Amino acid sequence: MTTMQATAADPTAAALERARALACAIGESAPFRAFEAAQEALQADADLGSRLSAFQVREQELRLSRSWGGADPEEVRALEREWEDLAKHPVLAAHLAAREGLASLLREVAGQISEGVGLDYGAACAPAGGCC
Amino acid sequence: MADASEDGRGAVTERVRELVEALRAAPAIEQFRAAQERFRADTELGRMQAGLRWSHERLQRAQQEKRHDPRLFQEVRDAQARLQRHPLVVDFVEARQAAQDLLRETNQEMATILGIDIGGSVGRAGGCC
Repeated sequence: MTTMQATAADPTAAALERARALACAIGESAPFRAFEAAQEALQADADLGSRLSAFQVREQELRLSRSWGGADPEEVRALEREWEDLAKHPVLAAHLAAREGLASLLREVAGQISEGVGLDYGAACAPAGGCC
Repeated sequence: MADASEDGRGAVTERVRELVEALRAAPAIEQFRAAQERFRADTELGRMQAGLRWSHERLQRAQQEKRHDPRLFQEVRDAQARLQRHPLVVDFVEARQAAQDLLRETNQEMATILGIDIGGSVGRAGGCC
């Protein structure tokens, strides 16, 4: 039995086949390719990488302090200024823009699937975080 | 302005349309949509939901007014329990779970190819309330 015959006989397998075709189309789209290129550029810039790592460590420390109610507002402002500065770096700026471009495409895709099947795609696939 | 097909968005839209069509033909989604339809169309269930909303509003008002009334609590809990036991609700919850499982499987297929969790990146942690 060929793959086509198998999926025609099994609607669930056919849906998964369509999902793979969609993934390939997303992989070939301009927003995805731009994101991949921006990701590579970011990984290739060692100096920017170490600035980002240092920023993330400070951000994590500040988040912890905040959760204990002890974050210094001056430190929070300093970190915000540092982020504004970092985000002006052309490689990071390009990465952020590419990431948003891809996120926008993925939101559109998820929205169309949700509308088509009558179920929130994102909520169905998000890690369980139920309240009960 | 660039043509949508130039940047591959046109192909993505077309593949999404095909995926939605295929999903709607899958038993899990068909059964979910049928269960959802029965759930929405049932007048008795509609009355039970309205009753629960009314009890819940009375409970909220009592709490806002700092009145502690254990009977109201019990009323809400009983109404919730009656709803959860209703055969159409039981069917709906089961069908929704199966449909969500298929969507997660779909998402996993795409993540394997793209290295990106689409559902996880757009979704929010699924609360129940």
